Amino acid sequence: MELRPELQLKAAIKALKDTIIPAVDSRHGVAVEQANLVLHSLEMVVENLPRQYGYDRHELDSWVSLASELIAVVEGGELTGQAVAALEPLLQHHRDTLARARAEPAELHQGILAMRETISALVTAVLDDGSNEAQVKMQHYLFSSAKQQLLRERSWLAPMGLDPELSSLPPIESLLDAVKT
Amino acid sequence: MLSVNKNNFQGIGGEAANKDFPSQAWIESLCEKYPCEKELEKILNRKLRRRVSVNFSPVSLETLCDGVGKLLAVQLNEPFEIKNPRWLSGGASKMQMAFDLERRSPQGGATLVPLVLRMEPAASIVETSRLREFQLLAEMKGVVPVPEVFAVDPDGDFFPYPALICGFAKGVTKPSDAESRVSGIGVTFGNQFRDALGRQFVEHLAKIHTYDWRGENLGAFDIPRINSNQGVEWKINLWQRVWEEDAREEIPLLTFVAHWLRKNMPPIDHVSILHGDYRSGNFLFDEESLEITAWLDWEGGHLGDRHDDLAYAAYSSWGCRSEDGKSFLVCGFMPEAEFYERYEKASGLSVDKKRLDYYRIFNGYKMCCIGLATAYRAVAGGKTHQDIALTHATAVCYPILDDLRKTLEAIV
Repeated sequence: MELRPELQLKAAIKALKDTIIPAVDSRHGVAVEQANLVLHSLEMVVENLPRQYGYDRHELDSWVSLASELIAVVEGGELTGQAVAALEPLLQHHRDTLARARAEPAELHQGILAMRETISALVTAVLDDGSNEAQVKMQHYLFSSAKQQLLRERSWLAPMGLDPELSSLPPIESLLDAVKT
Repeated sequence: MLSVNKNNFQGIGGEAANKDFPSQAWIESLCEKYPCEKELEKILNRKLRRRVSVNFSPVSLETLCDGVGKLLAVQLNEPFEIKNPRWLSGGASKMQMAFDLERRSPQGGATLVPLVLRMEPAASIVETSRLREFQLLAEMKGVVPVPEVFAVDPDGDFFPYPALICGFAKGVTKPSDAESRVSGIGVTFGNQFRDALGRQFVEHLAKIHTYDWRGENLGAFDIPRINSNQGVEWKINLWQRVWEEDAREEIPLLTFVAHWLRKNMPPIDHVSILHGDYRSGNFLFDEESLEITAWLDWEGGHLGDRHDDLAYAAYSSWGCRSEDGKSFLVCGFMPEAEFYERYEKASGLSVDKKRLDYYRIFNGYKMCCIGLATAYRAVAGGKTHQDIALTHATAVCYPILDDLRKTLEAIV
C-alpha cells in the first residue's frame, strides 16, 4: 500500500512549509508561532515514526530487566509478597512478548516489496508460457487475493472520505485482527 | 535476507541502479522496450533526466511574470504590461497563474486581455507535452469552446519549467452550492443544470470526435493506422513504461491487467481527436446562461479510438446516483445507456459495447499508473507544488483497482 503514513506526513509538511506558513498573516503572532510548532512537531513525528517500534521494544526490555532484578532481590512482608506475585506472571508474559518481537518493521516492508515483485514476475511468466489449466487456476487465486487485499487497502484509506462505497467498508481493526488471531 | 527493492532495477549489463537516479542506458532500454508516440517518448525521457537534476522549489509570481514578459516580448510587436498576477487553484498537475495583459497600440489605445499561464512543476502526476496541448487547443478553436492559446514555451526556455499561455475563460466547474472532491471529481449537478449541460456534454464530445483533424497543425502527434491496433499498442506501451519507471511496489493484479490489455487490443475503425480527460470538473460553464464556456485540461489529448473518451466519461468516479438511487448518471448528467444513444445520434458514429469494456479496463489501468506509480514517485521526491493533493489521487486509485478486479472477473 503506497499511501503510508510517512509519505502522507512528508506531503503535509511540504504543504505547510511551501504554501501555508508563508501565507499566514505575520501580524497574527500566535498563528505564526503555532504554525511553526505544528511543523516542528510533524518533522519530529517523521523522524521517530520508524523508530517507535524499536523504542517500545527497548523500553519493554528495560522494564523486564528491572522487574527481573527486583524480584531477585526484594523481600519483606505481605504487601511485598503480593506485589511480587502480581509482577511475576507479567514478567513471564512480556519476556515472551520480547521473544516474539524480533522482526524489524522495515524487514516486514522489505518482505512485502519482495513478495509483490516476485509474484508479479510469476504472473507474467505463467501468462507467457504456463499451461491453460495453470493460467485458469492462477487467475482464480490472483482475483481472490486481490479482493481480500483491496478490501484492507480501501478500509485503511476510508478516513480520507474518497471511496465511493464508504459505508460498505468494514472497520480496519476487524480486518487486521482477523490476521493476528 | 532475500529482498527486492522496487526502487532498484536490474540495469543494462546486470548492473544494479536506482530508479531515482536513472541512467541514460536505462532510459534508452525503456524507449526500445516500450515504443510510443515520439513527442511522448521525449517527455518521458525528459522526466527521467529531470528526476536526477531538478528539485522543485516554490516559484514566485515575480519569477513567472518575468518569464511571461520575456516570452511575450518575442511574440508581440507592441508595448505591453503584465498586471494583476495571482495564483489560480484547480487541477492536480500544473501551476497556474492568472494575469491581465495590457496591450498598448502605437495610436495610444490600450486593451486589457485576461490570460492564464500553465506551467509544469519539477515532476507532474502525469507528464504531458505543452506543445501538444498548445496545438490541440489551437485546433479545437471554433469546434468546441476552448481558451484561446497565445504562446508556448515547450522546453522551459523562458520559465523554470515548460509552460503555455492561454486566455482566461470565465465560468465555474460546479454549481456554486455543490460540493466536489479534489480536482473537481464527483460533481453533483441539480436538475436545473442537468438537461442543458448534459446536452452540450454529449454534443461537444461528438463534435470533437467527428472533427476532421487532417492537416499540418498537429505536428506533435503521431497518427495511428486505421483498422489496426497500432495506436492502442502505443498507449499500452506508454502506460506500461510509466509504471515501470515510476512504481515502487508491484501489484500482481495490474501485471495481469497489462497482459490482458495487450492480448485483447481492438483495432481502431475511425481515428478521432480524443480529449483524454473528458469529464465533469474539466469544463467551465456559466450559471446564468447554462452554456459551457470552455473545455479545459487537453494535456492528455491524442488521436485514437472514440471509445476511450466514452468509457472514461462514463467511469464511476466522475458520476453519481440519481436522486431516486435507481440509476448511475454519467458525470452526473444521464444514465449510461442514454449517454451512448445520444452520442450515436449526435456523432453518427457507432458505440460498441465490447470496445467500451476494453477501454473501461484500459482507463482503470491508466489511472492506477498515474495514481499509484507517478504520484508516489513525485511525492516521495517532493517534486510538485501540491504533493498533498497527489496523495489524494493515490487514495482514489484503490477503489479503481477494485473496480478493475470486478470488471475483469466478469469479462475473463
